[in-house]
Amino acid sequence: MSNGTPLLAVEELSVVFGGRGSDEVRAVDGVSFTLNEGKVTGLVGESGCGKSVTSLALMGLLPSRGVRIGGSAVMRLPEGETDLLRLPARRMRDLRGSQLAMIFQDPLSSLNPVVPIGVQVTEILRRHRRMGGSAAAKEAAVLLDRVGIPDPTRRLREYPHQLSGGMRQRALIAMAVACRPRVMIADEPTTALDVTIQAQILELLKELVTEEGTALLMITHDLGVVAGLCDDINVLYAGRAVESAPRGPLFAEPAHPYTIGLLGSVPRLDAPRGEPLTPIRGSVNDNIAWTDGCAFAPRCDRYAAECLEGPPPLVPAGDGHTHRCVDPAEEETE
Amino acid sequence: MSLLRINDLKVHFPIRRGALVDRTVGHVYAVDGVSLEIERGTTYGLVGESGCGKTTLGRAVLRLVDITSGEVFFDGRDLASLDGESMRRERRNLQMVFQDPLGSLNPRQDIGSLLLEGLQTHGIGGPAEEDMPAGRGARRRAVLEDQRRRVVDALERVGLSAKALTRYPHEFSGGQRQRIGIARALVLEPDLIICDEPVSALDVSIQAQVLNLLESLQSELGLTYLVIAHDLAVVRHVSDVVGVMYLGALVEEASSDDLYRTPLHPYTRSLMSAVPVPDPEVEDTRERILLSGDLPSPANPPAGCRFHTRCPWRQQDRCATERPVLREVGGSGHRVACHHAERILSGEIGPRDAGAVGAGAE
Amino acid sequence: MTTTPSSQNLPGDPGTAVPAEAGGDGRTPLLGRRAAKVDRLAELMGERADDGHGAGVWRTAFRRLRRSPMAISGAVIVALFLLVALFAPLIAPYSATSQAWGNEVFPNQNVFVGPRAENWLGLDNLGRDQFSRMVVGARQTLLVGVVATLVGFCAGALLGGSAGAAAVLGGRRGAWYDNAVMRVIDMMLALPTLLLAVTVAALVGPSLTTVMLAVGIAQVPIFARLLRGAMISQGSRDYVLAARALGVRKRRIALAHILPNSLGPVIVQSTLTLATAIIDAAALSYLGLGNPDPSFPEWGTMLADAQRFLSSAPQLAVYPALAIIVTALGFTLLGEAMREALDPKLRK
Repeated sequence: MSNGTPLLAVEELSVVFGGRGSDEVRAVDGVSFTLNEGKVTGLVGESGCGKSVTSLALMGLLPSRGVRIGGSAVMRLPEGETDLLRLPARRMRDLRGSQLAMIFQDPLSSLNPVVPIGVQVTEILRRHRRMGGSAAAKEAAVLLDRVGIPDPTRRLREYPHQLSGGMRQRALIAMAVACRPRVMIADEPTTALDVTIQAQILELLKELVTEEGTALLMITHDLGVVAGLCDDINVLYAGRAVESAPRGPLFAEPAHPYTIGLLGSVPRLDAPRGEPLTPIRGSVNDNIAWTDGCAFAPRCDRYAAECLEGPPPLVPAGDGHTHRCVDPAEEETE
Repeated sequence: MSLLRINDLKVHFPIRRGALVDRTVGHVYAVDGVSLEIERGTTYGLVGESGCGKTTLGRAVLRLVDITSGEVFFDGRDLASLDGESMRRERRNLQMVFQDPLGSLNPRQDIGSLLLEGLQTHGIGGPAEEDMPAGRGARRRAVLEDQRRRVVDALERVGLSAKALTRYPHEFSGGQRQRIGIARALVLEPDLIICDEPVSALDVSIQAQVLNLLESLQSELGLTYLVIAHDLAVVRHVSDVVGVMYLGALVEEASSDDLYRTPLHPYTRSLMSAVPVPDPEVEDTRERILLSGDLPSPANPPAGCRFHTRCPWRQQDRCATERPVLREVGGSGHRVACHHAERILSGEIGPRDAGAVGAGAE
Repeated sequence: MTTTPSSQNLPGDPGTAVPAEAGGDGRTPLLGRRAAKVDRLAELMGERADDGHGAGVWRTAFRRLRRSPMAISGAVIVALFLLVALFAPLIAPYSATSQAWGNEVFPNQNVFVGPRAENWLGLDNLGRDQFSRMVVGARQTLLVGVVATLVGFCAGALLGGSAGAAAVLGGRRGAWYDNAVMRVIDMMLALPTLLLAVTVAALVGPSLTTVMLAVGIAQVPIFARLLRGAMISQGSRDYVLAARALGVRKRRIALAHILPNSLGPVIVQSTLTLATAIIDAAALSYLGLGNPDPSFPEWGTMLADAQRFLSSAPQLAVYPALAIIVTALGFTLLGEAMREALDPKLRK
């Protein structure tokens, strides 16, 4: 399906907040990854790791004042390649919703509460696909049906608060796929939902990606979700990718202590009762600047003096597996 | 004798309408007939999705919400029949840890006064009667001294130092705040601690710290837990016995391993298949039972089996008409509320295609 | 707690959305905007405290205030006013009551004395030093404003606080009490402030106390509503539940937990009320319901007195009018800036 060149290639993306008197915060610091046709790329990390900022930067949704964005994000469009980070606001607006779509965590606050679902869906169709009124209405019903909303014509007339959480998220996905975008970004799309509903939504996303050939960027804190959905995974910590790998190697042979720590922190449903968890010490705030060394060093069990000798480089470990650790784990035996 | 025995507990919230005089127009059947027992020194895990009434059940045990009917025997006393003041005093024996570690701490109280408050309300602490110094001032100082010692002890047990005493909640990280919440419960030396989603607001790497802490406290102090959570993996990890709730009622109860090995209720099965496992191989190979539709409103629960509107194993007989009771199936205390549990277990009835149920559920 | 399942773990089915916040709030168009504004502040402060930065909210708000030109100009005006009022006897060059230059002013022949070296603002119609009268009048104005606000604050806080506490902790009987109190408050809120004040003043008879009382009572419903709203919003927080779970007595929960966390919006409102109180007090004095002793300076009375000479000596009316406007403006600017600093949605 994929023909080699990525749909979106993000290179050395960095986002710096502040300056002008207040302290600078490097929210994202040299993150690179690619999105491919029909594939799901995952960004995993805890709060403050920069995963959401990354998505907002790609969507051009960060405020222009007080934010500096560096690097490049080259997207392959029918008319040629474009760097999303350098696109004029007008062009970006056209691109959003048509070629580039986003699904947010909280479906209720991302929908306009006083406008019926139908109007919100048809608005996109009319704007980006230049459809007429009745054609758009018909297409909207097809879309809702596509994302598994029963009785779509009735639902189109309803307001967001009349729908359940799962239905709202489906409606939001319908709006995202309305113009058959090439790239979709989902920022914690299932965090606000119950597990059984989450399973439905993940299944739907999987289906859309394989059937439409969309490239999906999945942002989540849940390793389980990543394991089931993503093809390539980037683990972020304090604004940098500490480990990137296809999902097989990442879960089978995690190299970075942070990845290993995360995996050891989650209780697994299939683990026998009483199997101990191995948590990571301290909290997300206990880190040092990447320029001084490994940001994870203060919480790392294998921390050594060399961890503080400047920023650790990204080390390739074969099979598209890279990590940022001077003393990576050897073949972890499970 | 079990430490906590809940018998046919019901909590119905009236739905009121009207401008001047409130009229009751219906009820939300948040908890509708739950019976369970928790043995001393064990952990009972209550799992279910939002709206299933698990949080209300936890609060009803502490009488933080009004109980409509039923009994709650704690150590032989029926809490449901106690008057307000006796219940207030009883609360030193039952404590609660909340989901939102920040929201459950008063932002204007420093940690010291947060932790002292419980001791002072219940008049706990102070040297033994014969060691009590004469004079009111000296007496007060001696009591405060002892209470302080208890507070510091509780803080150290949860892994914080006495330096925390003069600081305020917002100065701590999420995990530390949850430790403070646990210390607040711990300082009263309760028998039972109800943990309502103790880790769901925390970062992944912190969750394990708190879960491990809860476990080590249990083995040190012989605590009994009622852990309420939506995450089956978390509940299974910490609990000896797991109860699965759906729409105000317990649908299945079994020992942690039993439940995982042989889930009997269709809801448990689908819940279990929906929980993501951080392992691609498991994720790719295991069967998935996708439920269609949404949770019905607890104000208007379906007749018969409450799960029948979404159940992939639904049968023509009884499911829609007769409400199944929790009964023991297959011995070893495994209880399930399903008319057809045995036939589902033996494979006699198979699940229908989930997609086909889609329209019917709405 | 007993009537509202909304605090429970239930899905947001619109059918079950029960009068948690509607539980006594007048949605009558008559009360419309003012009530909405008051409630919004209460709700907001509730939200802010949710961030958990008990002290932090105020600290960041203060930092924002220092950058706001509105707040700074308000603060400067208020500070000047306070200084003048507090040190009035030291600042005023002459006695405010002695008609020292009585032989230079003949109102019936349209002879007035304007500003000059020894009388900076000239003389009034009885030959008294206008500047001294203005300065001493500031003191009166401050007294009226502060006392009236205090009256409104105390009575309003008592009513609203008890209603809020009853609604949160009192069960069914508490809800009934809350409902009863709030209906009365709504009725008071529906009456225009000035009308209410005039009624009180007419009942008790004209005096300075009357003005303070009347203006204060007119502010009661605002404070009551504000505090009640804030307390109910705080009452649904987890830390209140935690305190109940701990076995803390209800009285202590209300006084030591809910109340301190609910006072923020009330304190902000006090600043705004001071401005209203000053204007209302002046209006009442102007209507002749104030201090009956005409020799004692008060801006409202001075304005009323000057009215007779408006065509020949307009400056006599302009000075007190300007003073009232500027002072009220100062308090309003400061209050609004404080509210804006605490309100994330109004911020640009």
